[in-house]
Amino acid sequence: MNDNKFEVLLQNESKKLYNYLLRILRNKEDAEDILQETFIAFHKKMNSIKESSYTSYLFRTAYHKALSHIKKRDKKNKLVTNYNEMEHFEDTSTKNNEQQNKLVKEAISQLKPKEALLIDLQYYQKMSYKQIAEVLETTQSAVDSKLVRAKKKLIIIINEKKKMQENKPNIV
Amino acid sequence: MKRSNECSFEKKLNAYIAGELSEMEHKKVREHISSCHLCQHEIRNLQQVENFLFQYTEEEVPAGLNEKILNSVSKSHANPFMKKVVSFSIAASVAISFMTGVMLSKGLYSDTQDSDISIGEDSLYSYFEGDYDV
Repeated sequence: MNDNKFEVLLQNESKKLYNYLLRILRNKEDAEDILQETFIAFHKKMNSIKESSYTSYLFRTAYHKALSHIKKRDKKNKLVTNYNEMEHFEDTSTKNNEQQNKLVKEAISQLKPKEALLIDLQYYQKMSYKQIAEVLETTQSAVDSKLVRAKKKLIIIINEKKKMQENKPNIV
Repeated sequence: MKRSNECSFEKKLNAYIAGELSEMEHKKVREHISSCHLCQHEIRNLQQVENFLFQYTEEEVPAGLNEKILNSVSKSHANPFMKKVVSFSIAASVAISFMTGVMLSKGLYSDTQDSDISIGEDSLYSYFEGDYDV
């Protein structure tokens, strides 16, 4: 019975979670690994989770797993390269849509992981403050103030990106 | 003291855009925005964020990844049960082979051993009766 529920949940939620992980990790292999780990961890605890909290639990787990992965990766990268150079060995397949996606991923990855999660939950998952508060185990007013802060940061990042693009010489 | 580039409504704008305000508050903020340049600017900024984020096209989950997850889950799920099944099978096969061995050996030995013993007994009698040269 639970296995059927799990399969349905996997079909419904894996795309959302995969894209969330892609946006913050900016690496397909990492996103795949963390997605797999998230669902396995969820499956182990499935019996003790309320059905109405399945999605919140999945996002919370994915967030924590991604966070520890980013920490490990940053530590490793510091030894070999500067963080800003990281994008050079990320996916370099930049074709139209992918280029736009790359821009968004870059901007989001400049936020703190928790801020990135907040933005993701509001814009891409279209969650209400109440649902976001459940995922992050916090209050709705805290969600609001953190979102305001995250968006202000994002506005600065977007404007910087715009300036950079304007200053880029046009290669014909 | 409030700076000239700050507005007390600014903090409510995010919730306003997200539709998180009560009907009354929503109306109040809407009326305020129409006359506040700072809030109009802030709303434009928030819309800019939205437009920027929405240029992202969702990517498909790589082919076979969901199946891979299902397989790993069923493997990890089946493990404790499978361990029991495997140990039970081993125990059962050992027991069956033992029993079969015992039964077979009983059947085989019953012919040979009896005859061996009888040969042994005959030889012993013959020995005592002096049929054997020492």
